[in-house]
Amino acid sequence: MPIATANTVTRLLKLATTITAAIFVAVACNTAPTPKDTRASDEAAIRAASKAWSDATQAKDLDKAMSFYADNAVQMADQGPLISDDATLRAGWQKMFSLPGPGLSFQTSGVDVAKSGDIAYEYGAYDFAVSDSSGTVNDQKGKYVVIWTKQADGTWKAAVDIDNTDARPPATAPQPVAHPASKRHKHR
Amino acid sequence: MELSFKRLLLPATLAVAFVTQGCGTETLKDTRAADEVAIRQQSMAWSNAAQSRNMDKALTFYAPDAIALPDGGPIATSQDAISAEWQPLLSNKDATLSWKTTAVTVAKSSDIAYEYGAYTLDTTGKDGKISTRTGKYVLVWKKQPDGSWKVAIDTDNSDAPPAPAPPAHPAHHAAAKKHRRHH
Repeated sequence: MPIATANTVTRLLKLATTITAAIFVAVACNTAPTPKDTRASDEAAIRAASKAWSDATQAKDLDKAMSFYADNAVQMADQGPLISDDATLRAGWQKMFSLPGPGLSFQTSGVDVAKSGDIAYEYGAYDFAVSDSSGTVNDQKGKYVVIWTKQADGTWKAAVDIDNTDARPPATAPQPVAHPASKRHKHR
Repeated sequence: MELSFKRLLLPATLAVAFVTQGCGTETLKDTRAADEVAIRQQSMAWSNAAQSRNMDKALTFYAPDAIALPDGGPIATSQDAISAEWQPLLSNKDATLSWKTTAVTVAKSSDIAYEYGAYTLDTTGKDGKISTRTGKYVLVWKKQPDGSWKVAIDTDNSDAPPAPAPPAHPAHHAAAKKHRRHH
């Protein structure tokens, strides 16, 4: 075989291998797509949802307030048992909304989203303002953590909801008649 | 033709390299099952450290930028503040805290996970009687650069209001890990 012909064959083989390499790369890229970093927009969505939730709470809009929970959400109300069913969860909120006074509001302090954009957490501070029998509004302040999960439709919902109070009244103080087993309740 | 194979070596190697590296992008390995096991072990080791009142050990489970939101106390955003929250409980030989994981969920990207569970605080009164207080907690775990999981968020609350304390026996409050005596 003449040298020139051998070189030509080599070049052709080299070209073919390069093309094959390019195809492999293209296929590899298609089968393992680069995960998009959606954390900034996820955080904005969660902050907006939390704000809308607080607004619904201030408006004592039960249906709206409940709409922020994911299916199978777990609520850990302060000074109450763990709640994992919708009916009990709703009953707790309803009880809280029935109390006189401005009610509950809360504000986000921080949000952090997983790189994969499926789980995030939020923490913040709440203010629970309830009027007593004389009409005086008493504020109870506390903090909360909400675990948010991205739903199939792309919205974020609360999967876990826990709160506690910043300061305890003395244990010897008269206890309230009823404890709304709900998010961020007042307890004296 | 021997020469030809040598010339083919570079493009062929590149092809293999590209495919195994997944075009240089992050390969998505699902490590969630292993991460969950690691977190459950960490949580148990942490509970054991708390139970044995090992303050130094207990504090090693927090990430450098951890935030604690203790029941009945202000938010703690520094290591010193978190340490101060633990101090009264772990220096009290009459109080013993332990907890148990209920569930752990890890993000697909395995950088963030959350855990929730139940705690028990046993307190021995002056009369020798043990009173038990139970509550619940949520932890957010974050994977550290060395691959270990540390706590970024730590919060808890009690299952029931504190029982009114008889005057002779001050009630111990499970400010969960953060024990408070009030009277």
